[in-house]
Amino acid sequence: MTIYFDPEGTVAGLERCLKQASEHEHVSGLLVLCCDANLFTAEKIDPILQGATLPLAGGIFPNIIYEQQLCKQGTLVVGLQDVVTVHTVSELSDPGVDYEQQLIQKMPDSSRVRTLILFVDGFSTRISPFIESLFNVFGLDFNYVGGGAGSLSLKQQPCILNNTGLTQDSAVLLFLETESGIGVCHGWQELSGPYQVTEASNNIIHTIEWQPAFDFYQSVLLEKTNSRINRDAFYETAKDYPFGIARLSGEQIVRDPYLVENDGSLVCVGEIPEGAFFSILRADADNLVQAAADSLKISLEALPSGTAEGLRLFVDCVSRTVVLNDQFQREIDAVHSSALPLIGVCSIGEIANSGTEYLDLYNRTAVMAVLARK
Amino acid sequence: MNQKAIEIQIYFEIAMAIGTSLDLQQMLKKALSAYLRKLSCTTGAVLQLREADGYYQYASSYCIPRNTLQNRVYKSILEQLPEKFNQKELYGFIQSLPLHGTVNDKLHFHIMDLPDFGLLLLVKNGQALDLKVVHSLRQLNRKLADSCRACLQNSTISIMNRELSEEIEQRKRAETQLKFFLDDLEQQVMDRTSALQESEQRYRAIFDNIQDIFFSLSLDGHINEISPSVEATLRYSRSDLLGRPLTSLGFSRNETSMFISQIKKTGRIKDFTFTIRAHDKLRHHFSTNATLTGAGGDQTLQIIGSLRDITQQYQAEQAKKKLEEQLQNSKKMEALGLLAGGVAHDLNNVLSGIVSYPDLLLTMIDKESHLAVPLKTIRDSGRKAAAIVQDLLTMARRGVIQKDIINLNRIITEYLTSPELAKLQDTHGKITIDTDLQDELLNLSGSPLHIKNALMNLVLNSVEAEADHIMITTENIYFEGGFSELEVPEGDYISLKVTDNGSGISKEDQQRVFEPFYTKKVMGKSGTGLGMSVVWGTVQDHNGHIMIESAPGENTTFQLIFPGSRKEYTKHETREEIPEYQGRGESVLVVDDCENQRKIAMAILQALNYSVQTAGSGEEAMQILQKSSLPPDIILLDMIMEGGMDGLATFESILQRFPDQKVILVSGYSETKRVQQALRLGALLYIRKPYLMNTISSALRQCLPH
Repeated sequence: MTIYFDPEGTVAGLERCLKQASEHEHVSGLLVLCCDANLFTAEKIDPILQGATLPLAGGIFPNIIYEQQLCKQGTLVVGLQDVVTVHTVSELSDPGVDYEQQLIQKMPDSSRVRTLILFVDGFSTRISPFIESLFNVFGLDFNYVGGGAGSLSLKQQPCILNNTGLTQDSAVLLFLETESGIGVCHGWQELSGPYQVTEASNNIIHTIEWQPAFDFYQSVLLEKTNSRINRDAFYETAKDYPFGIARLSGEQIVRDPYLVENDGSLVCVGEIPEGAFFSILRADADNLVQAAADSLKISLEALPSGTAEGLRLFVDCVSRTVVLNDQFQREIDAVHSSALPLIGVCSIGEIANSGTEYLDLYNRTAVMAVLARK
Repeated sequence: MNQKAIEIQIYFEIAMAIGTSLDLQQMLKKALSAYLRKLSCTTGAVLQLREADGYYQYASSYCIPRNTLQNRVYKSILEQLPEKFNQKELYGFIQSLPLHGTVNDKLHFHIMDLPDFGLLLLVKNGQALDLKVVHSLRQLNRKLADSCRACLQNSTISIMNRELSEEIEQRKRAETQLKFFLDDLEQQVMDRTSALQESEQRYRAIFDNIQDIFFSLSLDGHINEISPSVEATLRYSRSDLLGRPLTSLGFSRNETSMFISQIKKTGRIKDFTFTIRAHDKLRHHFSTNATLTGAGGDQTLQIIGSLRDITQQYQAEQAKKKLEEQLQNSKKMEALGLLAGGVAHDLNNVLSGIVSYPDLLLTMIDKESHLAVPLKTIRDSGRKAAAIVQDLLTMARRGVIQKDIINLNRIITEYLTSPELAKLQDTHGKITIDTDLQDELLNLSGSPLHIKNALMNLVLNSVEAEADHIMITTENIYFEGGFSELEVPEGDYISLKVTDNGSGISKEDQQRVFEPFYTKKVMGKSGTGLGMSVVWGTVQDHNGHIMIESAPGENTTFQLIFPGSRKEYTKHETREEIPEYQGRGESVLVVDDCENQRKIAMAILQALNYSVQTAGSGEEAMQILQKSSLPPDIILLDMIMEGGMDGLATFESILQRFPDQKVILVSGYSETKRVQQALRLGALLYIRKPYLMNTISSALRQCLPH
């Protein structure tokens, strides 16, 4: 496993890193993590990606993490051993696409696969059905880790990398024979609730308790926190008060409202089904940092016995960087070890399963995947 | 939020996810997914209870993940269930639910009853579901089972619906195909209707405008349809005829019956002719063609055909037939005339001696001489023979008679007071002749002598038919466009009818009555045998017509029709008898190629006190004239001379050299065209042989100064 980092985030750097990683003797596939600030476009990097001699998968994220550093610019290329294959699923917002059928038809024999690293376009509208299809098809055969790529501009744009170039509204799947352990924690706590989503479609909540979602949200925040949220600077306030969907055991699943529509609907990263109950959450820095540490702990515990830790892949929600701001380094520090390489991304939604729970899309969550050493 | 509230939310959300679809797979996907997500389970399966051969077993309906049953761990869980149950075992098994177990110390499975459907398997990693939760799920499971059954029922209904839809589709396709065929058929019907309408219009145009009469009849002879031409042709109203029997169209019952029976027998009829009396009572002759139609399918049998008015054709044929008969008669009469003419010329020459010399001899002997009676007998016999010859000549010279404007009434009146009639009455006893003569009778152009002669012959014919009463009638007639039996141009006509109460004439005899010498009586008893032939010839020469109306034992009427004339009457229509005149020593040159005739003429002329010179030919006559210093006062020139110049040629030569020379033409032959020509060139008179004393004397006295 080899890691090449271009802190400048240039096209040439990408090309160089890809070349160097590919030249490594045991590398059979490439993981490419880029910062949005690199301003990569399809025109610039497609020729390079298409020229790659090894299967590659990757994405463009608001930030990437390398070692102990949160990078706003730069490119990471990881040469992976034991890559089975890389596949891309397109049309991730198209309601007419049957992802299960696509996956059944396209995917290889998964019996050798132990870990799936996947990145999706974080602003696609059918991420949840896609993930559900993944679980239906592959089940608990292997661990899942990944998240949503995209830009903090909150506008959908090409952000998924594969051997055909830079694509939009798609997902890229990197199947590995490498064993792994997965840990998922978020550290958010209930502020108020429960409330019912009375009207919703995909990732948009139209009404809560039969009131326009924004109005309801605004009134609760005002009541509970004395915070005044407004449409123009919605996320400034909303970043501190995500939604939590209850489960029978374990942490609530967090949904991150990031945009308010003209009609008062709230757009989330991930789906909240109509009729579901949710709570409004809040957090303090310590809990969040602790959650990151817990995720590492769980992942290490989950690593199959007899395997040694090789690489830490940290998928942490970008909103946690926004919420924690200067304290975010504490999270990195909590999962970093000087003895082992740490790479990671600040994602728009996280995906993880270690074989113990139903595969789901998370928001505002810290996911640690510890890949075993070969 | 307390745990209870969380559980209620969770159950609620699971309940919300159940029964969202009537498709079992779709419904279970969402429902089972909710179970797993909300209960934090890793695996789930729904098993359906199935019955076969009296045994029951569970089979997978839906799993999450799909490949669960290929995973040996999960497979081992299901293998803990008996493969088959009988009903009792099944009951016992269901009573034992829910089941709970652990695999590999980590995976806790829960098997729960889905009432009346099957089982629900949930597998949780790490920690088993609390028993309270499992019991709490019972109601949700019942709902899930109900939904599964509803889906199965729906599936059955769907299959039925699908079959029904397929059937509907098939029917729709069949309907579409049928509609296509119907459209096609409709198009064909429209095309054919259009063609039919066009045909109907053409037929109607023909039907309305054709001169022939088209008809359709029912088999009992009633008129179904008839073309409007019937109105123009037969004067019947078309609408009045529809639905009425053929007899209303003027058909007789027999004709109708014969017509229909024949067409029924043969299927068609061609050129069937018959006569119909039109509404205006005029008879029309028709030819018809007809066909029996409608023999196929449900069509009613009917007769369709046409009537063609062949009246004009029929009349033309009849006229032609009559004309042919007339032509035949004319030719026969012409031939007889030619024969008679030829005979008459020679007979005249022969009779000259018999007729002429007795008169001469009687002047030479004493009236009391015993030779007087025999000579008179010879003379009378000769004259009778001459009369026969004269009739022959009359026949022979047809078409070349001299015509004047005459009045028929005057001729009749004169005849009724004539010696000829008196003599006839003397000979045949008492005969009553009545007349009904039209006042202001139109004149006619003709020969008074021939007309008178014809009248005499008609009266003689009546007398010889043993009639004792004769009625003579005249009247003016105007013919407008045709006559029923005679083809007579339109115009004024004069009718002469001679009706007697004699023995009558049969139809057969009527055809031959005008033939020469045809008689039912003894030849030579009274007439010459040529009387009626002379009548016929006279009528023909005057462009007239003759009709007979008679039957044996009934009255006989001969009707003579002559074209009328509006021209003024010619005064000297009958010449006065010229008394015999003695000559005053004038010189006469007799030119005749027959020596005997020359001698007779010389004897008569000398007896009449004329100075006579003779010439045997035209050439000799010219020589005499050229040598003579004093030309003769008059020349008697025979018209028929054999060898050199004939009479006309001689007359022309005389005129060239001696234009003032007086010439009288003589001929034993009929008044030929050459005679007519000579008269036009300036000949003074034409007299017929034989030379008779009073004929010659009167002729000479007319031509020579008194």
